Amino acid sequence: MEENNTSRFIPYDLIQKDLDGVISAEERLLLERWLSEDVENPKLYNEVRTLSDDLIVLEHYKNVDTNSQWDRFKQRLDRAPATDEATLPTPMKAIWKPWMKLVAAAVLLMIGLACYLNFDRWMGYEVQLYGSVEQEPILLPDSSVLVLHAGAEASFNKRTFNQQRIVALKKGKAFFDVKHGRTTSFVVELAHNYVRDIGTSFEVNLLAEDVEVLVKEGTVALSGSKGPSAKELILQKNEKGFFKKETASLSKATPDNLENEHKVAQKLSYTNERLDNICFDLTKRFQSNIIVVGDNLKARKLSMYFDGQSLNEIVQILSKTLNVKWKASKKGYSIYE
Amino acid sequence: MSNDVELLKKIVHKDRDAFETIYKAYFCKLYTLSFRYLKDEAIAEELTNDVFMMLWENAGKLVINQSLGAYLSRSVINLSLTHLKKNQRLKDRNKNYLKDLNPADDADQTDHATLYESKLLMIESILEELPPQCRKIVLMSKYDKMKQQEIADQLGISIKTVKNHLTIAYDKIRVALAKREVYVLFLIGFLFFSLGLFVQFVII
Repeated sequence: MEENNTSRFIPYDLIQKDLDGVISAEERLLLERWLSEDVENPKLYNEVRTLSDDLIVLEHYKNVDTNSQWDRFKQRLDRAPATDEATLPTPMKAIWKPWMKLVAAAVLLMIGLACYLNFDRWMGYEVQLYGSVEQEPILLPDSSVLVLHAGAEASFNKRTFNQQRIVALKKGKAFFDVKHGRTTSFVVELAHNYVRDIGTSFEVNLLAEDVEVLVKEGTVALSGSKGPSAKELILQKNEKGFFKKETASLSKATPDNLENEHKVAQKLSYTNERLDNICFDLTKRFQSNIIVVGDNLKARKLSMYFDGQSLNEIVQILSKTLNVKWKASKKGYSIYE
Repeated sequence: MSNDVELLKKIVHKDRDAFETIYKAYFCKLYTLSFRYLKDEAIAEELTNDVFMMLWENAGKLVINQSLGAYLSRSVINLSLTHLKKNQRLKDRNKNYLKDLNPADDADQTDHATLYESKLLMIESILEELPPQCRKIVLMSKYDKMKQQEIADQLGISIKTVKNHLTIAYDKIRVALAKREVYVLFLIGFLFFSLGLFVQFVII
């Protein structure tokens, strides 16, 4: 038994004695000399020490009786306060069922969308304007002037106004005197169409769902719908453009017609009168044609009182009252079923 | 591991049978791991049981990102090291040995207990293969804590023979463990190589 398998000499007996704490002073000197002989030797010393420890651990490992340990641990388990299963906290991962994640994502998306759509309003960028009886002029950020009549409502975005000069007219009548010398056009956004300034001052009147535009100065484009491909009607100075939402039609009245148009009724009263008779009377007074189409319609009777309305407004009131349609043309007005 | 997940789900609902299965599967190796650090049977046993108690009481709250074995190993190692820090006597006794041992990282996926258990089993198998006299001397030296002279006296052999037997035993174990490390590295390398070949085959 004198064989030795190591290529490098390791004083196992001395290391073992050192680990057991029974090494003599002379033997310790020998061990220390060996340790200092080579940088690898302390590593070998540690290796043997670990192995020696592992041999001790192995002894304990082999002696572990898991069953008796469990029996003892069971007693400790029994002493532990019982936790009601119902009160156990549910793991987080169980709370988040897949459909809940979808709902959460949808809610977040909706909140995000609401934030995006209302960003300007919540940030105070959207300016709401309301007309008053005094009709005070409002100076817009580009120095254009807006006059809102009583009951009119409009808004614009002060954040984007310098890039896109857009005023949204929501209801009522408004006068615009547009400041020029800018590359961007001035647009009045309406519910179903828009009015684009080409270099002018103009008046926009929202009548129920229809639109009237009167050009005071320069040129204006009145559109028949929204979007870049919308058909536009060019209106010159003193021309009046009409947009009827029902038929999405555009029409305009010439300056000659406009003179009549500008006339207003002076306290007219009709009592149980046929429609054709009323229109005949109005034709004489305003010197503008009003044609009633259909015998039944002509024969319908009504009682009306007008005071201060223009012919256009009277035709609209008549049409509303009889629940029929109307249109304006160069020749005058037509009322039909 | 999938079986462990199923058992863990049952433990959340206080299933004692499932807990007993886990306990019996892991106690021995976890206790051994703790003992490796503490060198104290009673404390190692208590700390290991503390880990199991923690598992029983908080199974529903635990977020385990690795295998159960790796999680329990990490718990035992950290608990043992915390105990050592508090106990200067144990710390002093193991100071040289503890230099190489660090608290386990939360992200550590290694099942240290199983790894260490396999090392011990390998040492045991090497011991079994030693010549009877040589094995007897190692056991007397390590387990019966007998001095070399006492062994020589009891077996009626010279102290030099005892020293030689110890040298043979340690050498064999050391060489076998070194070979095992090389073998494990080779195996890992081979697995990666095979995986690469397989991926290449699938792509082509």
